[in-house]
Amino acid sequence: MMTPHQEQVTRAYEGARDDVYRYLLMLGIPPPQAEETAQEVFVRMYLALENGDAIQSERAWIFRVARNLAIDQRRRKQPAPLDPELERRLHDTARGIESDLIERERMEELALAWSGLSPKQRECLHLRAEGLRYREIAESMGISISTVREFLSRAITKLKRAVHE
Amino acid sequence: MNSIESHLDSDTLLRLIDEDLPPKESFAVAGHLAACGECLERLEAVRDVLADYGRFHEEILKPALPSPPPVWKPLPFPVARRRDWRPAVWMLAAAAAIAVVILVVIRAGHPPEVRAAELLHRAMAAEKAAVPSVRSKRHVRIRSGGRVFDWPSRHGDRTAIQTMFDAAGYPSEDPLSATAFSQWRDAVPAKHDEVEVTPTSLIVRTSALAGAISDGELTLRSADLHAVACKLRLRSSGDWIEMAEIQDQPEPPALPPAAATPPSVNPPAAATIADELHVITALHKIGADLGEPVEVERTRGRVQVRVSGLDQARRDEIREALAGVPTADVHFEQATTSDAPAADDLIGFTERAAERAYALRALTRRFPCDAEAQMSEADAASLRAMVRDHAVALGDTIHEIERIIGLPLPDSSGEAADWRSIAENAPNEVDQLDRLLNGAAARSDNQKPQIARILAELDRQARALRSTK
Repeated sequence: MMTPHQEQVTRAYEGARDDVYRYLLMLGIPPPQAEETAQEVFVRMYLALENGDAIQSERAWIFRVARNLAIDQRRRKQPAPLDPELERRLHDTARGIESDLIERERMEELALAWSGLSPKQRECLHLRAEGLRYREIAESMGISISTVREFLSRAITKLKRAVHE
Repeated sequence: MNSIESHLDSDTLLRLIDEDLPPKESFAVAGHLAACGECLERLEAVRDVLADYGRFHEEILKPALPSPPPVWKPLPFPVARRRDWRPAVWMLAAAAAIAVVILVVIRAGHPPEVRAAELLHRAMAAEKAAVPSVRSKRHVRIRSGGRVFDWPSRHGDRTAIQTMFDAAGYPSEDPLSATAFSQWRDAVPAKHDEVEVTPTSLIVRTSALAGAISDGELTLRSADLHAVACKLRLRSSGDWIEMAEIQDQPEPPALPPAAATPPSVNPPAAATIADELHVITALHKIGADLGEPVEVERTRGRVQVRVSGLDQARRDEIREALAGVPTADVHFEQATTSDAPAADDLIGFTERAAERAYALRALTRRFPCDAEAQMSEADAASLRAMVRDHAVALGDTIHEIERIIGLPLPDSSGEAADWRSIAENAPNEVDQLDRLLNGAAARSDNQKPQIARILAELDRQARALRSTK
């Protein structure tokens, strides 16, 4: 029989663990550690709730804690670069999607443009796509809101040029 | 912000879509869009690309990353530490065993925990010896999870502060003190200490193996062992509670009083645009105006500087840099650590060029012509000096890019525009360069002359900005 907090955390775990896992991969945490770290995030969420901590936005809290843990891990170990094979897999995946030619080409163009974004531009886009607001992205990444806007704007400009020009 | 007459820039369009604009600005933008087909078209283009990226994110990026485990392990819900946490006997025994091991290991080498304990003991003695009236006049600012409290509390925040510290198992009576830190540290069954000595302070860092607080850090002033700052990290979230002593200073004026205090009383002067410039200049001198999490805003008669994250050394630099600006309030929020600087490659250098270009544009927008006209000669000179600094750095970065791609730059000449026009347009130029340097385009020989032309033009503009008087 689960307690209300255990039920709440289990729901969050089931709903967001895959997203947190992928975010950790984006931050350079290799798959086996990413799995453990993703679990750790939700264990901490449970402890926080049990401790009476207020969690305003559950999703923002989860991503922020995931990032804190990733930074701790990278401090302890040599940071791993983002999977060097990822760019090739992106192109292969884009080329292989079941869609019309125009959409395939658009996705290939986006894959190419994505490769040219800086890590922080990618991270801002990633968190935005995961539903975080600018303030939440800023808190999660430890940068100012105006810098989040700047990174997003530059990223979108690059993507727009790649796809629509 | 664009005036209603000028076209909307891409930042504004993106913020409109993401509902990040304040209502008043949003209304003005909507008004502009109703009358400007060109901007409306650009808005649709931004919407389209966001939708494209949304599909890319879900259908391409996520599948291209290593798959999450097909079956996740169930969550191991631990025994939670409640506010009235009492550790189980086995936990105490385990913690005691760990403590013994740590103690033996540490004693085998140098014993930082002994130094920490001794240092705290001496600091507590100094606290007891301090004149009570001096201690009672002390003000402390406490920050946690985006909330800010002043201690002693003035607005009924006392309960919130007490609840926060109780939840963390930390004494709340005089939280920024060696006594409180020591009480917490003594109650931790297994811990590891470090003592760092800096020219002006002694820092005790304690990592606890159990309890709601995982790490504590107390900064003592070397001269008198007075506690000036303290940080406590919550084990559950990784968030920090931060305390810092604040110098007694005039309170920021609240809302403008209906009947203002008579001027003869000399109320604290409200911050002016010159103060804002002094803050930006001070930040610029230490390179903190290039995208670090530092927000500057002039509100309620003060220049509010909000710093989130950054390590202690960088915070100290910022605090020191702003010490000479009496109308500046510095707020430190949530500590996370910034990533390593961008790699020394084309993306990294383009990013640095963009930082400078955006910093230049921010200067011309933050301090427009009419504001500059009101500045003293010295302030206007500071503003121009910052422009020159950014220009020098921009020029250096352009030369690095030129060196990497090995292109001789053609001569670039033309009318030298005024610095504001160059600064306003600089991000667009860098974006254009970035576009050409990205992906396959940079490897294509027929793009190289165009890259060289843009580099030469940026170099010319940087030189023009360098000569800004």
